[in-house]
Amino acid sequence: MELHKRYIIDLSQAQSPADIVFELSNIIEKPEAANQKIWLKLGDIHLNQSQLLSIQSLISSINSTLSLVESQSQQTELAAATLGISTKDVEEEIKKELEENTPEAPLNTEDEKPTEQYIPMTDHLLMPDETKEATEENTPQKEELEETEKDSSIQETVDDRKEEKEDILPSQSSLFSTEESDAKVPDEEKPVTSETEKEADISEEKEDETAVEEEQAPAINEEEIQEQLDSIFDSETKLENILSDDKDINDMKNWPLTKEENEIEIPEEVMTDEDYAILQMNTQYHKQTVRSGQVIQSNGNVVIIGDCHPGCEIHAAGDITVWGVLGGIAHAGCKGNTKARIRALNLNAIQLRIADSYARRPDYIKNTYVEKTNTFTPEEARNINGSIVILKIND
Amino acid sequence: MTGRVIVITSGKGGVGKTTTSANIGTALAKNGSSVVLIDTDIGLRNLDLLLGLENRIVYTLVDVVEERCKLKQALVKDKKNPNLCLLAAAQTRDKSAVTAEQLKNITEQLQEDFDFIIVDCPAGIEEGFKTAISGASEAIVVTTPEMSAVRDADRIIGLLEAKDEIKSYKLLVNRVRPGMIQANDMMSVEDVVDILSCDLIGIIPEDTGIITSTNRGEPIVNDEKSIAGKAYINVAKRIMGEEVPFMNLDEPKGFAAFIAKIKNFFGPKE
Repeated sequence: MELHKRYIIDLSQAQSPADIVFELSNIIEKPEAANQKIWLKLGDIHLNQSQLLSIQSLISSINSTLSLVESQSQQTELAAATLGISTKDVEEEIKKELEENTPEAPLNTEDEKPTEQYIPMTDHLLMPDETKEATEENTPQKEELEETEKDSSIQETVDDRKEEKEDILPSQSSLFSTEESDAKVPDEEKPVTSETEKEADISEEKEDETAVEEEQAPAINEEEIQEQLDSIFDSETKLENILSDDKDINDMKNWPLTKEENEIEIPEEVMTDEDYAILQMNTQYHKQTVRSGQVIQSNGNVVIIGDCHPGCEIHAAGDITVWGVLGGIAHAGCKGNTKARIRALNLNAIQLRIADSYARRPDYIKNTYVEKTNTFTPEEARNINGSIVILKIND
Repeated sequence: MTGRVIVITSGKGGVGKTTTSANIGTALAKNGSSVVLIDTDIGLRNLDLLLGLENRIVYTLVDVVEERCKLKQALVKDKKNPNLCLLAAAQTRDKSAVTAEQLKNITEQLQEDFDFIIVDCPAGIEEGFKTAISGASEAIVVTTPEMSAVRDADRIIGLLEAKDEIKSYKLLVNRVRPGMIQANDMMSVEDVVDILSCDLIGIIPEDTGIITSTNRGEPIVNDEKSIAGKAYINVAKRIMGEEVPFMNLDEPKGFAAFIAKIKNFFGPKE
């Protein structure tokens, strides 16, 4: 059984959970990592149980098992312990096993110890080409060594107990190759991303939403991740400063300025840079009822398949489209794009804000709850010269 | 000018704190005082609905505390009465967003510009309650003539007494049903006062008009004919220092009841 082989991954230099998953997703692409017992060496990064679980499922997707986690963080160790993963010290474990093992083993450890065995991530980046070549040259020898070790162990042990081998080589080579590919061909990042996302999908079944978000994120970009994490059901509203100091909210106008009522001239539609900017934004889909107190924030467009109840807030840098009744506060173009629009099947929002313009629902509309009907009047709110105008979508 | 900071609290939920806040605030403003209502029930705000100001809220108490806007920008003027302002709570946050210190700071700033600062307290005795009473020097404890509400009010009065800043606290008995009291099915107001040994500031009878006024977003004191509205106006007068006798809520018996029914038939009670 190949499963008895041990495969050590040193990620103690990782700066964030995102780094870990990114590095890990690169490593597990290598065939050497499959069907192994994986020992993970982590630094002082705090991982929670769901993050660890997603790492575990990432590893299990290549038929390997995560059997040991070494970490300086108590939280991580606790999480690992609850998942039934051993949390011993990697080096000590190796020593112990080698002491138990054949007399050949100690020689091995002397050869390979720290410098070659654990290659920290960051060192790869700094490592000059010569040393890379040198270490690569070394590899064949080790392979030989390993082969001999394998043979000896097979001869020696009939019972399957604790005859794990150090399989250092694959880990080294895999680390190298990923670093090289990173440096030379940045385009290769894309397939990696999709890979990790797939992995995340697999783990999704087991885990709660947050874990998935945290997992998907790392492969893309750290800042984006943070933004994404912030955006989805963040309880902390970060209202853009839509009012300047001299503006008074008590001067706010009523919103239903329909075309007929106010005879506002609708300028002909000309595509501007702002329009194109909206078209190029990412779009978030939410298939749910957005309830009072919930906030949806996005740096792109938002599409909600469902109703938005009064008391909810939707903030988007681009368009907001609600396939249902919009009853809360909607702020399109919250980064200042005046061409952003708000569309809904029933537009009954308490407040509409587009860029720095705002309008409130007129007082004569008394219903403070969402009216669920089967008749819809699709409407679109636009910002025309600083005032918010609602148009029937059919027009 | 130093305004009076009055916190409206109860301990138990659903006894009418928010309704009382909205109506006392409106009644005081109608009398000519400048009033600001502060909703401290962050995450479960309702005061704006009762006043019909939901659609005007742009900035909230939390925005003021976190310095995203100036205090004056967050004050929403009432539709009818320019003397009345509302400082709304955030709906998308929770009680931990504002600390006692921060609220005290805000009430101190408002004291300079307003005669009355009415603080609507959330239910419970936790963080939210402690925050709400932090800036106040007076308190109105709302209760209903039910054992559970009275028990909770007793607890609240104990907590208020322990706080040195609260100089006086008064009792307001809400949702009184004279018919039930006469039939001995409900504790009388006297019983409640005896149990709590606390000064009474008002008795508000049960009134179905409260429900419609809440749904319409208009405080019941704007309805001249409503009996509960009158009772709230009397409470406001007592807060201002006027001596107003308590209303006689006893339902007439016998022949008087018959006459009253006929009177009712032709027009609402005066």
